[in-house]
Amino acid sequence: MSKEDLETFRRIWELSKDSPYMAKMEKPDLAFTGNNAVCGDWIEIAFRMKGKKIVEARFLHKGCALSAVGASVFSEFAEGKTLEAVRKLTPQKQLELFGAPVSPARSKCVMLPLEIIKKNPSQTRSLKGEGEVKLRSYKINPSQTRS
Amino acid sequence: MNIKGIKNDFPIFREHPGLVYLDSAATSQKPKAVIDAVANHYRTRNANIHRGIYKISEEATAAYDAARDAVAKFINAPSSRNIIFVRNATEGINLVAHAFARSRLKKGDVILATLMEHHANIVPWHMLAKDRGIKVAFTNVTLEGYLDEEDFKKKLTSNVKLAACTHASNVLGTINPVKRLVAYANKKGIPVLVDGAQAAPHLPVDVHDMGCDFYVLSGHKMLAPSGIGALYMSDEMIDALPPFMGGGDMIEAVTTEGFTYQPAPLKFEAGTPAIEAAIGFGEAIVYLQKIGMKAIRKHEIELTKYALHQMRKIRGVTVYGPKKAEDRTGAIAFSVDGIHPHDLASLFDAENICVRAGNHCTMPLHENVLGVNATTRMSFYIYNDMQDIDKAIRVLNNIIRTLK
Repeated sequence: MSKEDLETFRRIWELSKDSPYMAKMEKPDLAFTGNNAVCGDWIEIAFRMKGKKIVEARFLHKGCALSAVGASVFSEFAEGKTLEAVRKLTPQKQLELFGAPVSPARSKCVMLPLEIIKKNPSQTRSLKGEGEVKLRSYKINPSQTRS
Repeated sequence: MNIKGIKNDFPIFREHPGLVYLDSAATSQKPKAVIDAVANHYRTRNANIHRGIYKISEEATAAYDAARDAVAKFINAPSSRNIIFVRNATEGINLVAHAFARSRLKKGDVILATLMEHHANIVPWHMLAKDRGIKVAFTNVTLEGYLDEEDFKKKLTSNVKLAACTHASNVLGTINPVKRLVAYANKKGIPVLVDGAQAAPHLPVDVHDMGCDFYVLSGHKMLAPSGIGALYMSDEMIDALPPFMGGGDMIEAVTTEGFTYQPAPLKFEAGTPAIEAAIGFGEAIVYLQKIGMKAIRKHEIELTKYALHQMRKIRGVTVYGPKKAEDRTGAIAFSVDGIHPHDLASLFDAENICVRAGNHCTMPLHENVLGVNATTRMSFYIYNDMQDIDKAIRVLNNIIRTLK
């Protein structure tokens, strides 16, 4: 491993521990949650809305540095945009936002927020006036391999 | 053991100079002899087995049967008729689940598994539970990573109709005292299925001495091609249990009214099998026996002892499973404080070191015993040497130093 590789990872790793977007949002307007069944990573993304615009995005996370930073850059991207625009974010653009090379095996970590927002719109729930609503988590990829 | 010579037998290490392969618990690399045996079959005697009235079919049949003989001798089965070729250990367990359940299980019966089982030795029983109203119970694992034998004995109640236990854990490395466990169960008339996927590649196996009714193994973890494995069944079970899949090869006669089937083991082998893979499996066994399973076990104890010692010196590293190398195989799962296993595996990969990260198909073990949802695992085999471990430890130290 070159020094640069390790240094790149160190920056990802530090952001994963210290992202300004990683925080619990009290009473969000929209919240999405889900996990990656292959590795067990879990994230929740919460939005504060003003009209159709996302004015604040925050995430909670349990898992690897790549999925945390994936959620962080995704949250940053979401602020100021409509939910519709956020749902149109392509994997290529998400990788671009991520800003470091990712191997095929790890790209699912970075894509976790996209999967949650796009593939599971039924999980989108308006929480306004409902107080605490527990959202059901779902599996993105239930395939298990014998190892 | 001449490790340098052994490494030269594996073409993958020539294709990838400097590759450190520490993921043999997932699948092993293949020696040239096995690769050649598969290619040679296709080149010289490719034909379907058993029913061909011509020379190359007879030769293919003879080679396939010889592979079955090799497997039988390898695990000291009384005869080759006790060996059923399957795709892998998973299929072997599923075969038992179907054949055994259909003829022996009723609502309220219990299958006793353990918390250190691979999903392959849990999910088939859960599926039965759903379909037939049976229950699945689990023997505990101690904090030191051993099977809780007292708990096993306590849970062998009169409702238990089958005990299912791994010979060696793919995460903790723990080698279970299967002979003793079988004796406890058999005393109460309970048959035992032993999952040998992680044991048969690494240590001498003697099913006759063990006394189990079922033993499964996967060829691909012991130098053979993928798509071939074996299920050993005791004389009593192999004659008593009904076939699992129906089709060609397993039948004796078929009419519009019904069918009769062949004696064991053919009654369990419907359809054309993975002939070339079975032949490769036979060749892999020849290769392993040339080195000797005792020598292989000794080599792996040395590697494991060294790796455990080196890893325990690193601050922030937690190693799971028994402390004594003699009590375990060379599968070593570990955690590093503050670094996720997947990130760690990627960093190893950047240094040309293959390790595995995740739950290793043992979610109940991770959740109930280890208390983490993923770990990183190194696992060794005959082609690994001390230099491989030194490199892995050096890289691990470097990662931890950089990220602290």
